[in-house]
Amino acid sequence: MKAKRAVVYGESVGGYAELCAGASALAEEVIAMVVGSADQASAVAELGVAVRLLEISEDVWLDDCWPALIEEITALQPELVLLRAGKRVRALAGRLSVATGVPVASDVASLAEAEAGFEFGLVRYGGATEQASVAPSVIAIVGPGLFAPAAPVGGGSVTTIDAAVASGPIRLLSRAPLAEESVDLGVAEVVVGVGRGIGSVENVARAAELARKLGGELACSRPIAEGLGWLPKNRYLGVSGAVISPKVYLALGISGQVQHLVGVNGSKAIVAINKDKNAPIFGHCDLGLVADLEAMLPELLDKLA
Amino acid sequence: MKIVACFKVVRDERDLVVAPDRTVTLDACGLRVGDYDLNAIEAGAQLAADGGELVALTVGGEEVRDSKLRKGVLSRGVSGLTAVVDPSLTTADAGATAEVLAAAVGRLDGVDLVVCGEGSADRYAQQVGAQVAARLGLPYLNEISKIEVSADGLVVERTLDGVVETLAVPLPAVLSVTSGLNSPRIPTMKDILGAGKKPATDWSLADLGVALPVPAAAAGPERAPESRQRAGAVYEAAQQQEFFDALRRLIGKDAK
Ligand SMILES: Cc1cc2nc3c(=O)[nH]c(=O)nc-3n(C[C@H](O)[C@H](O)[C@H](O)COP(=O)(O)OP(=O)(O)OC[C@H]3O[C@@H](n4cnc5c(N)ncnc54)[C@H](O)[C@@H]3O)c2cc1C
Ligand SMILES: Nc1ncnc2c1ncn2[C@@H]1O[C@H](COP(=O)(O)O)[C@@H](O)[C@H]1O
Repeated sequence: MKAKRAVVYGESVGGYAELCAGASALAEEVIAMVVGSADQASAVAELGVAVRLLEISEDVWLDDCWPALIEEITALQPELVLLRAGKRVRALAGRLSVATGVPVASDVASLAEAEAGFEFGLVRYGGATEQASVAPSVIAIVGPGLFAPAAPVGGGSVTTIDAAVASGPIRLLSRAPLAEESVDLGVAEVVVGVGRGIGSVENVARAAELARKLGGELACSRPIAEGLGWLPKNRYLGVSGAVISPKVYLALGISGQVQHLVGVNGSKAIVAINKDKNAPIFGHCDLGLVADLEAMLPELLDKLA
Repeated sequence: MKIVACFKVVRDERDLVVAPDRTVTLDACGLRVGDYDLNAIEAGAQLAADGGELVALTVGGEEVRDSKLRKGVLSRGVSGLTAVVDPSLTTADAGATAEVLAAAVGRLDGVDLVVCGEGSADRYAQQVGAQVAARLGLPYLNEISKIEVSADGLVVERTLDGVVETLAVPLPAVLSVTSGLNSPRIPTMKDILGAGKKPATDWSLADLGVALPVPAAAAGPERAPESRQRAGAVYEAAQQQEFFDALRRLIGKDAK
């Protein structure tokens, strides 16, 4: 049975088309919460949904709006809340869950109506296992791609939430935009991925040269971006990073743990070079070479470029 | 400063046994502390280094009594370890876990700061920290990439999608840290020997006056995802010519 009411929220206007499409398939009434400007609210209303706007100026710290937003959502008693995945939104979800007693389903792999509410799929261990759960009501954090975006049909409405936003105990001292070069790993036909076995920044540069010469892109495993900081975070592949399906994925010094493989399993061919013949990656590749990259990188550049 | 660092004991999924019908057995898997929880312990240890106290806190089933694992945690700059043990807690969801953790933090008394990891190694819901804070009514921030002690609390950096915020946080508070915040220490022989002398306390749910958690969702069995069979032609270094020929064919480069 279709749920009565769904509430959707996303930090930026971009995510609402997908959320609203998903919500309308699952609930009779869809209400979109927007925290921001009247312009943003009318952009979302274009999707044909009822928008409730918490209007704030740009200097307001978004987290200070959570109490008002949570109060509004709680009063609506929706069976379903869809939140567009984002770092800030995870903190909101936890607070909303404690306020309402409704469980959070983080990064749902699937979401459908069930006899007793909703059935949602979650992955465990970053993709090693998956599990389906059923709950009468759920707060689902939804990443891009789960629902096909709704086309703007117009005819939505905007009402303003009449609530005061006050600053809480935490004070915002300053904020700075995070300068990250933008990269679209999704369009490259060849992707060269480097893992901890690449060994040095110099070798990362060699792998970058190889990727360039093959007309492809350079990517990496999470530890290269997150722990070592040798490449920016938007270049790591996996369950918490980018998901790609190139013609060829060339994994250099990557052990091949499931959390990484989830990001590259869609590749037409997976090619691996690793010095350990027992590395898990060799069980998941089309073509492999057991070799030390220190010696093999110059060969690769010579033979392939 | 009295600090609590929350860590979860999980199965090592690399030992996972998958049956032909894709059901999985986790019982044979080894135990470990989630990688990202080590960043929480390290953050706490660094803050506690000059005169503070750090309690490592976990909730779970019998697995959290594992002595080798406890020794590992106790050798990471903590003052002691506290575990809430109940068989039902092995599969507890974020809500139930947070309820029990919040009660334990309350019982530990006088806690100034609770540090959680970015996400547990099995669920990776990135929820428990936020929910512990909400239950305790404490200020909360996630994605903390830098922590400094100030005159009236902490000044932290929070790295979000596209923006870095610098924030002043009064104590007591709850923080979830990123995996890039620090590099967890590698315990020395001295640390490991010292670990045996540190106190470990076990509480039951009854000790905390918490009822058995009721799961908010009915969960089905855990299964392995469908995996794709690949050609798996792996060459030794001596056959690198064959490897290069095959690779050139794949990327559409003619032989050189
Ligand atoms: C919840 C969660 C989410 C995660 N999300 C992601 C994710 O999205 N993406 C991701 O990548 N990881 C993710 N991880 C981490 C993941 O579990 C692995 O730790 C990580 O992928 C390992 O990276 P790696 O292969 O580079 O390093 P390692 O596992 O250390 O492997 C290095 C490999 O290099 C080989 N090697 C060493 N030296 C050489 C040499 N000279 N020549 C050739 N080979 C060499 C070694 O044999 C080894 O196989 C996640 C983990 C968790 C718990
Ligand atoms: N059972 C547990 N015991 C102690 N801490 C936990 C437990 N589960 C989760 N945590 C903490 O909460 C963080 C987030 O967990 P999660 O919401 O499951 O991703 C982890 O990194 C731990 O710091």
